[in-house]
Amino acid sequence: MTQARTGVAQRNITLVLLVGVAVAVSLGVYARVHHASGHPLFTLGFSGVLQMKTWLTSAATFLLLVQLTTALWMWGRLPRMTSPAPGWVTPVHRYSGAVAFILTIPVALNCIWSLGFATYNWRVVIHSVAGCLFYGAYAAKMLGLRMKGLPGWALPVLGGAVLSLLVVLWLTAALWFFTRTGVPLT
Amino acid sequence: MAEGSISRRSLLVGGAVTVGAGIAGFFVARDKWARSTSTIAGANGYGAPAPAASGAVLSPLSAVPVGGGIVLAAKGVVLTRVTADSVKGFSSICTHEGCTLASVAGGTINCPCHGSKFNPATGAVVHGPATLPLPVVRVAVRGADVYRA
Amino acid sequence: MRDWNWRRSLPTLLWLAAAGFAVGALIALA
Repeated sequence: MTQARTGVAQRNITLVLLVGVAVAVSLGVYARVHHASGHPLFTLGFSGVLQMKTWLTSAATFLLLVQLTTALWMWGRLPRMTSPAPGWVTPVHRYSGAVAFILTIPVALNCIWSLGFATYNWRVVIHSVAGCLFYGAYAAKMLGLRMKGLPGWALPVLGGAVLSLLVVLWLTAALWFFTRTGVPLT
Repeated sequence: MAEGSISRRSLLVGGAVTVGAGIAGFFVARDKWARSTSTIAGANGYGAPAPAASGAVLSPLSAVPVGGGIVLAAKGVVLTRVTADSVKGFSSICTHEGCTLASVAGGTINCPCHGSKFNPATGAVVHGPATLPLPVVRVAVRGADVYRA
Repeated sequence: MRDWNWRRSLPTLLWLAAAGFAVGALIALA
């Protein structure tokens, strides 16, 4: 690599990570500073806010598994399926990702506005931090896709971070919901 | 696998879409959500209605067990019957984060979300994390039925 | 913009719109 190219590469990865951090921190600050309203926003037809958030997050998590599978396929990492992925795999990857992201938005809006950055027990602290990092990682990954010269590990790490963080979000909230008794499921 | 760097046109279209959606979001939030007149407090407040109007029948008296109670989620009320002839009513929304109370069991009114428990005679908090007592809903027994007073 | 490939950009535009909407809402709700 020439000096110029390494310079550009370094600038690009730094920019990508900076954007991610900026998004994560902005969300965290907003959620912390904004006085939790304690009011629900909307339920989108579900019997309650908890139900709406749980099912939307679960759907998004499922779609991210589709994302992971198609990503591995595209990169030739699926066992016994190393030949180039068929043409439909890429659009499936992109659409499943876009839809999953969209599904998280109503959830996050309710969480951030009604509950804020909660710290009353470990479960909610992890959830609050993971929520901020999730959107930061997503922003970084999407920007990184369009940048030249990123190190080879960048996209897989960022994509992996997005997936793992959503799983953490699901575990600290949706799973908690499913383990309550006496609450309507939908 | 990268898609190639962003052309100026992409930036413009993407930017326009984002900003346009942002403006839409701003007005939807400001005019629809922030003005929500929901009387249900609590981030998890369901679409449950406020307690039924005065004079409405809530439940046959026989459906309220002595020494216990029932949660009428659709009517926004919990009915408790500590002794055979004293029926009390309270809001069915937990004062912690707005979940609908689940049951009257084990001598307390119980919330399924974070474990708050309330006294069935007074609505006072017996066990947190709730800190505020349940609002009283005035009820009266007339004949074989319990009415909203 | 005749040669602009709208179909190819659609997933991107979808999530950009969702993100923009959310940010606008958060600003209004602040």
